[in-house]
Amino acid sequence: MYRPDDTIVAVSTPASEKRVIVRISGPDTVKGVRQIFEPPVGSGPSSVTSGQIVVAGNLKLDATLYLFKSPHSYTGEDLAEIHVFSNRAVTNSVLTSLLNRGLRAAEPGEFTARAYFNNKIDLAQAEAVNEIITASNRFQLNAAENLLTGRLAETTKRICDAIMDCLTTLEAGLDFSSEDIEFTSGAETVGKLTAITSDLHNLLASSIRCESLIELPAVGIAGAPNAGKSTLGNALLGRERSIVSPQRKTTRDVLTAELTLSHCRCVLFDCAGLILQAETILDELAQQAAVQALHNASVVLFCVDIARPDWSEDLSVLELIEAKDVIPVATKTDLLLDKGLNERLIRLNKSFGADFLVVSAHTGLGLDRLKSAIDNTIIAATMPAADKQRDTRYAIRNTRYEIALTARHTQAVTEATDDITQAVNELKAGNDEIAAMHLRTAYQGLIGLQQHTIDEKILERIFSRFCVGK
Amino acid sequence: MKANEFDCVVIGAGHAGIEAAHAAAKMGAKTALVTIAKDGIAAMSCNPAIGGLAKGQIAREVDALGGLMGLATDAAGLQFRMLNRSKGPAVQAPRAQADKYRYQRYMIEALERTENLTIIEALAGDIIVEAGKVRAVRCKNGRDYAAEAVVVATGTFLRGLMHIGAEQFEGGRRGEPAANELSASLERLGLVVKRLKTGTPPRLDASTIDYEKLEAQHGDAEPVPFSFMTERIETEQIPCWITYTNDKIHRLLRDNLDRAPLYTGQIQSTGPRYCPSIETKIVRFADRSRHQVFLEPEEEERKVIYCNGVSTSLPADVQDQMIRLLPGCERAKILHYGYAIEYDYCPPVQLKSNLETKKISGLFLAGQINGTSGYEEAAGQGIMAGMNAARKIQGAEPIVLGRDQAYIAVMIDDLLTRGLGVEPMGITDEPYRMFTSRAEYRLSLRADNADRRLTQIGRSVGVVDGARWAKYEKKLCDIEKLKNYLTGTRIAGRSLWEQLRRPKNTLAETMSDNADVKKMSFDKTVLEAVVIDAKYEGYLAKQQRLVAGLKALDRKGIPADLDYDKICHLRVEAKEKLSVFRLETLGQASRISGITPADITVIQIHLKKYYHHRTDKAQANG
Repeated sequence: MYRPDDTIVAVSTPASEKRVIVRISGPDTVKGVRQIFEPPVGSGPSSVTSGQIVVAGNLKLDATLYLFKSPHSYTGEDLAEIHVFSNRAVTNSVLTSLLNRGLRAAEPGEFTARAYFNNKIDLAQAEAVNEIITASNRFQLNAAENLLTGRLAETTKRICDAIMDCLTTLEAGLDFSSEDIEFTSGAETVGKLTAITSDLHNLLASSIRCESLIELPAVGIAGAPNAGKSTLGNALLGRERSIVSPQRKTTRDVLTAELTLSHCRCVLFDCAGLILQAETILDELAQQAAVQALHNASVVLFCVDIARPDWSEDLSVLELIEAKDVIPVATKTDLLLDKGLNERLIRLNKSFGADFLVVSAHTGLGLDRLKSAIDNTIIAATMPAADKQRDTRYAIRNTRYEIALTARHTQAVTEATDDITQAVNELKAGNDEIAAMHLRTAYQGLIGLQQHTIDEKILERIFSRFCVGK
Repeated sequence: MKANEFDCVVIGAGHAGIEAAHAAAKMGAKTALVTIAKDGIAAMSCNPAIGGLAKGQIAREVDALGGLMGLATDAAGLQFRMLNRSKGPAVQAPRAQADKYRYQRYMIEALERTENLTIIEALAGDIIVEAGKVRAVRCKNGRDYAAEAVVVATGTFLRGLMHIGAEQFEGGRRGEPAANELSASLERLGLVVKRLKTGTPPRLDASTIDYEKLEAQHGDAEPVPFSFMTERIETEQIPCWITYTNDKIHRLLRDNLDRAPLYTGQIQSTGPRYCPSIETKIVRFADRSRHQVFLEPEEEERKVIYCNGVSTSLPADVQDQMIRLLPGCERAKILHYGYAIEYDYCPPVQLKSNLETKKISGLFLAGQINGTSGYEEAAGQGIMAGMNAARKIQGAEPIVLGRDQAYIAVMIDDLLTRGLGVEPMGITDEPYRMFTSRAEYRLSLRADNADRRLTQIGRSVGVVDGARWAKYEKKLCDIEKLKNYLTGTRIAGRSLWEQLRRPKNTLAETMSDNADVKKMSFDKTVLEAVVIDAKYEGYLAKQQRLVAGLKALDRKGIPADLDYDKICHLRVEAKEKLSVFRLETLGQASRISGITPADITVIQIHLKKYYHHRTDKAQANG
């Protein structure tokens, strides 16, 4: 439903760009921005601010805020766009923290709908919006049907039935207390509700996030300058993406492209070679971007030029990489003869205390092995913690944890848990009418039903369960 | 103005009709109240009681708007009880047994005292309409009563058909004729008319009951009045009595189901699920070994006992046997047998929010004719219909309350949107009754604050008189004063108001002992109001979240002539439903079952286009 009075948020990632745009529109836009962006923006006119986005409490990432004040914005309302070079982890965290603070996830086409209602776009454009809404509605229906056969729907339905059960008893006690009905005791209802809360906890714990499936994992290529990173990237992608040259520091910006592997897809990026001491401001900026991008990567391919006489520079820049999963890659192996290669590889492995994968971008040697190593590492990383120990292939096929929750689902489940906890407290205090309100909210949030449908459902249940009417 | 010319004619002097006529007359409309017989005014055709859960809130709302129901109940009450005392204040509601004759006498006198109001004893036969507008009411006495607005509040009288076993007889209620011609007249005007069913239990001779065998149910030691105008109830409270059905009765009823009109097919229409007949109870809840029966006095002299809980349309001989098997009633004599009644109603989808029919300008419907049950539901619609009839005559904007303002508004909105009597909806076609669970703003729609929700509105239209207004203003001022004192007085770093808001605080109970509060000598309703406000204050934001966005949509109007078929992208199901309901606001449309949020957005986009075209056209014409 188009609701003009609240503040909506959506996160979009432009195709093949390593950049996330958080878009917020509505009366609480500035308030919302202040929750996640530093420095705090004022309530002045439209502005562009360079600052930082604050994620998960303490992590800060450079970002640019474009604030458009009503009516000078796309939607005609206060509108903010925060551009941040980042990945899915940041996206999820930002979205969740905004949703938790009262913003609402935007419906499909809702920004455009607002633009139309605020006279920012014309009728022809609005007709197109209509199509989008209808189409996405159809899409959602399909998605809903898919979910119906899925475990999420099954689980939420079971939980919602249990909530409705408690609600029925509670409401019957409020509306028909003067009837000759044996009501379930408050303690029993509290017991049932507590069980529901732990069901919801389990649901959250055993699910993976939809976004982590949809938003592609990032694979970074790192190494000292001129370690052959861009050449390797191009070889993996099978095309020219980076500007490659024998000069050091050819790659200054973070460059990205999508890579398809046997089991998953990922975003491959390479960035400026890592150095310990930047000589120019330009170098400094390139370093910042590179370190930040690598920090957020799921997998880092750490490249070392095997033909190099000395690896001390490589050893020192390795310290800059904080990623969990690092695959060491020996590059430029085509420059060495077989015998020399083996010797150097043994030395290399010994120096770094790791098993290097040997590749040559020119001959194609080892590229397939590298791809499958990336593949396996990503799959292992997307699995829930409990399954980490198992064989990756088996776990991905085993659907035990395949309840995928979107940010919205997660929000609904978290809020419902909170609602039910409050309901339990109110029940214990004897405030049945307030407990009922919390339960209705939980039910509504989980099943996405409108209020009046819930009323009818409650009455239906009461009349079928209890003999009321003097 | 001639004798037979009125501004407003109200047909029917039941609980809806009297409030309608009284409100319209108070607002200055010259009003006629047409009733078949004057001694049937304000009759309690069924249960001799007013109020109850959710209904008590409505009774308070009628009172707060300046209506008569609360005052009459206070004048005629025999036993007052505040229900749900153990639960929160939002779900507490007053209920009273009333002396049904004293109630009628109070109402008749009040109506006779009302300026601009004429009571006419006549049977209405036809509503005269010219060019889509109401002109007059033609009565069987041969007279036409001209009016700009007509309120039809005929209860169960339209083609009323009563059943006692195989026996069927026409009538509006026991001993009174049906209004058959008026039904036909409404159909001629193009209104759709359908059937509903309700029932009533047998009445017993009070002197033939053995009270020693029965459990007594007493009223409250300190009866709480219905009306905000009543200081205290001083009449002596009399008890009701409780007994139970048993196996023998259940066997008797089961053996005679083949003689029950509800099960032989003689009655086709649906009865209410919340008030089933005893034969329905034993069929639907076969495992129950007993059902509670309340024996309630109908008047102070205790000559007639209402047998609450055994509504039935079984044949007279079965009713006799049933009563004799009821503990305490072994010797009891039935004065009037229970019966079921089928009657015509107009599916309320034909109404606008002001209770005026969409088809006929100036024709308003209120009460059971709209498919509701209950005196309070009727009175609530009556006062709104009367007010809006007068507003129409004055050429003023209709008074439409929001779901966040009153149970009355919840009821009217539900009537317009839930689809009672609309074929494809598939909901149970039963008379509509109010429950607190229907109100999403339950925590704010309370019996204690009905005055603060509605008296201002009653005053602004002219139904609330000077005395009520003065009393209300004083209360409001005192509440303010007390709140200021509480927020301004800090003990241990916390204001008294904050302390009051905390759960399990003792201040709520001890506030009347506070020396400062004592000095200000507030009425106890003031203390009560403040304590309850404090209790719920923290929860209102959450209540708001439950209905987020609804209010904004309720403000968005839909043009009456909108052609839903022309809205591209709107789903066929939505087109069909919305064309049947033809609602006035997007909020209402969103409450139709099966209408999705996407449908509403699609309509909104279309509406914007529609209005653009309209403006263009208007400019072209101008």
